[in-house]
Amino acid sequence: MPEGPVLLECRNICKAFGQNKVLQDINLEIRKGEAHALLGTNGAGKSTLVKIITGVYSKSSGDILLDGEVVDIHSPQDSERHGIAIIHQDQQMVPLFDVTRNAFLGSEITKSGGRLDLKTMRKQVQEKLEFMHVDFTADAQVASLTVGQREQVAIASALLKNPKLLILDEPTASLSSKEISRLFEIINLLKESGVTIIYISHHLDEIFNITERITVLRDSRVQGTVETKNIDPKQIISMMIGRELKDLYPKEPAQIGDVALKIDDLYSGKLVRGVNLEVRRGEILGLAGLVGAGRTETMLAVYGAEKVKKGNILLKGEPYRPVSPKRAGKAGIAFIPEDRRNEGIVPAMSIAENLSLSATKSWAKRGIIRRKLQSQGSGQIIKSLNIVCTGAGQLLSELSGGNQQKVVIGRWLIDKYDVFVFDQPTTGVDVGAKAEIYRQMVKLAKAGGAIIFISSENEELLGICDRIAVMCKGRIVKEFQAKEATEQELLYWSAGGDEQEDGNDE
Amino acid sequence: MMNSKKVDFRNAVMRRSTGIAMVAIILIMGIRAPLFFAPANLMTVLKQSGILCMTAISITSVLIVGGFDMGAGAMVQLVCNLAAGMIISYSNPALSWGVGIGVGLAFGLLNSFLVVYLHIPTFVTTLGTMYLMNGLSALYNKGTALAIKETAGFTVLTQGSILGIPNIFLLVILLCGIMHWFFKYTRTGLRMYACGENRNAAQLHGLNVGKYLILGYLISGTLLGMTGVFQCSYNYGASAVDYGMDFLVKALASAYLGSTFSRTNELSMIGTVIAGIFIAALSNILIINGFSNQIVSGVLGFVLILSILLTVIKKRDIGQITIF
Repeated sequence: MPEGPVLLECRNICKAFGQNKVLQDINLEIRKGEAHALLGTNGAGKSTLVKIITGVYSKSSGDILLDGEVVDIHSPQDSERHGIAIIHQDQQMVPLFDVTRNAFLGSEITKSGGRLDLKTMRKQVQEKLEFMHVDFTADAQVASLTVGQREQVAIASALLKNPKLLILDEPTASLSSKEISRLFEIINLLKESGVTIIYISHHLDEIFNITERITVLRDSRVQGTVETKNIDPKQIISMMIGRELKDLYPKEPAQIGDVALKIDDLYSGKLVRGVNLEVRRGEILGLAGLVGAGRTETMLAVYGAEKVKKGNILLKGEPYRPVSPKRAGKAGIAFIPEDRRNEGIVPAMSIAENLSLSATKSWAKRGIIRRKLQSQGSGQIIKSLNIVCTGAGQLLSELSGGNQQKVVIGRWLIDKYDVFVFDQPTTGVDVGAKAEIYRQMVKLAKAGGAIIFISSENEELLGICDRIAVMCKGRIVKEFQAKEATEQELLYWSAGGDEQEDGNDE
Repeated sequence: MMNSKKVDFRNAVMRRSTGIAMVAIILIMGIRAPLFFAPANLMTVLKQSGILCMTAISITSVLIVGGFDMGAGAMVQLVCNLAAGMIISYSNPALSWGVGIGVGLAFGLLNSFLVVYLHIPTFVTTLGTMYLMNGLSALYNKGTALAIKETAGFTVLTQGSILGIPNIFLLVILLCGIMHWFFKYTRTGLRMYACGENRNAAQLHGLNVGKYLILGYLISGTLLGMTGVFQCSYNYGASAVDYGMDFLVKALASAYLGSTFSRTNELSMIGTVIAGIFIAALSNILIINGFSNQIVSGVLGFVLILSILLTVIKKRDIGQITIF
C-alpha cells in the first residue's frame, strides 16, 4: 500500500490519573483514508487514548497534530470542530424520538427563535441513510429499531458532521453476524468516500477483515504499528500479551485423584438426554460442542438450577440429588456462569465489598465481616487474578470490563469448592484476561479441584484441558485425551460425528 | 426482534386501552347518574378541571426533563394565599401576578439549586420544600380563610365564559398549546425531553443536563405561580383547608395517565390535559353518584398507581425503566 499523507498524528502523549500512568509516550500516525485498528488488552490504554483524541480527557503532555498542524482539543466540541467523530460502544439513544431527532440531538438545525427546522434535518438524515443503504427511514421511531439499526443511526449521526476521522469503539459488541457484515459494508463505503477510520475491537478476525494497519498498545505504551497484510494473528497476540502464544496456556501437570463428580444417565429438560460423565480431582475436563448441544443445561441440572428428570449423580463418592444452587454450593459445587456482566456486580461498591458478597463463610464471623480477613483475602485475589486496579478499595465502576469480570470470577475463589464449572468464562475477554483465567483454572486443579470447562473455542480446550468430552444433541458422543485430539476432530464430533453411519437408535 | 409483532399488537391495544377504559368508565358511571351528561354539567366539569389541568401541565414540564416535584400542590396553595392577601390589602391584581410568579420562580430556583448543585435527590428536595411552603402558607393566613370579593378583571378570568365555554378552560387550551409547541418544536424543548428520557444519551451528545433540569424547575415554578393566582381568582380567595397533597396526586395521575396514550409512554401536554379532564369528570361523577370526597381520594390513588404501572410495563418492553 502506498504511503498516504498523515491525517492525525499523536506525539509523545502522556496521561496520568494521580500516580497511575495510563499512557506513556504514545506516538501514532493515522494515514488519510485508511482503516487503522487500535488493539490492546483491557486496561492497555486504548479507551484513554481515544478519549484524549475526542476531547473527553485532557492529556498531561504531548501534541496532537491534524494535517500536520498542532491542534488544541479540550472538549468534545473542539474535536468535533476538527472533524473527528466517534461511535460509542453502547448506543445511547432516546427511544421515543424518531431517527432525525436522535441523529441531530445536541446540534439541531433551527430557524429563528430556536424553532426546530425538522424539514432540513430530515432531508440531511435521509441522505446519509440512503448513502448507507439502510432499510428504515428518517421518520422511524428509534424504539422500533433493532440494535444493529440503532448502530446505523449512530453512524448517520456522526456522518452529519462530515467527519474526516471516524472512531468506532467496539462497534460489534452487541451485533449479530449478519449485522456485522452490514456494518463492514458501510465501513467500506465510508473508506471509499475518503473517511479515515480508527477501529477498536477485540475480535482479530474483524480487524484482519477491514483494516490496513494495526497499532498495538500494551501497558500504556505503543508496542508497534504494523501493516495488517504483513502479519498473522499469532504474532499480533504475542505483541498484545508480550509473550509467545504458547505461554497463553499455562498447562502444568497435576495429580489426578479420586472421582469428584460422576453423572450417570442424566435427563433434564429437552436438551439433556442421557449424559454420562465423570471428572476427577486435579483434572480439567473440557466440554466441547455446538450452541444448543446441552452442555450448559447439563451442568445447570447438576447445580440444581434446572430440574432433573432422571439419572444418578455421585459427588465425592456419595449419592447426590441436586435441589437448589444454594445446596449445590454447600455440597461443594461452584458454577461460574456465562453472563458475568449481568451477574451481580455492584458498580458503586469497592472490589473488596464485591468479593465479600459471596464470601459468607470465610470472611465473616457470626454475620459480621472481619475487616482483616476481608482485606487480606481480597488482596490475594487481586494478586492471583492480576486485577489491574489501585487497590481493593477501588470502585468496580472504575475498572475496565475485563477486570470487572475477573472480580466476578474471584468471588468463587474465596470459599472452598470441590467441583468448579466454568461456563464459557472467556467470551468477550481479551487475551490477557484469558491467560489469567486459564492460569486460575490450572491453579484450582493443582489444589485438588475438579474443573469442568465449557467452551465453544476448541483451541482453548485443546490448550488447557486434560480430557475433552464432546456433546451433541444432549449426549456425550466422544471423549478424547486432550493430547490426542485435534480441532478438526472436535468439530467433526460436535456436528454429530458418525452417528449417521452408526445407524442411530432413536 | 422476533416477537415484535406481538409486542406491537399489545402496544396498540394498550395505547387505545387507556382511551377506551376512560370512555367506558364514564359511560358506566354515567348510566347511574344521567345528570352528568347535561350540557351545563359538562361545562362545569371543564371548569372544575381547569386548575387541575394547569397544575398537571406544570408538573409535566418538570417530569419531562427528568425531575420530580412533590410540592406542586403546596406551591399553588401558597401562591393562592399570597395572591388573596395582595388583593385584600392593596386591591391590586397586578401585584398578585407579580408576587405569584416571583414566588414560583424563587421556589423553582431553590429546588433546582438543591437538586443540581447539592445533588439531593429530587424526591427528598421537593418533599422538604413542600413542607416549607405549607409552613409559609399557614404563617401567612394564620389558619383562616382569605376571601376576596368580585374583583374587576380578575375573577372573570376563571369564572366567566365565552359562548358558554368557561374562560378557564380556554386558558388551559392556550397554555397546553404553547407548552406542547415548546416541547415538540423548539430546540430547547427537544433537549429537555432527551435529558429526561435518557440522561446518558443527552450527556454523550454534549448536553448540559443540569442546565436543562434548572430550566425545567424554573418553567414549572412560573407556571405553578400563575396557577396559584388563577386558583385565587377561581376560588374567590384562599381557603384554610390544606389541599396541596390532593392537588399533587391529581396532577401526577394526570401526567402519568396521559403518558399511557403514547406507544412509548411519552409524557405529553395534550395527554396530560385529556387525563386531567377525565379525572375531573371522574370526581364529578362519583360525587353525583353519592360518594363522599374521601372515597374520591381513594379512587384517585388507585388511578395514580394504575397509570404508573402501565408506564412501567411499557417502558420495560422498550428496555427502559427510568421513572424516579
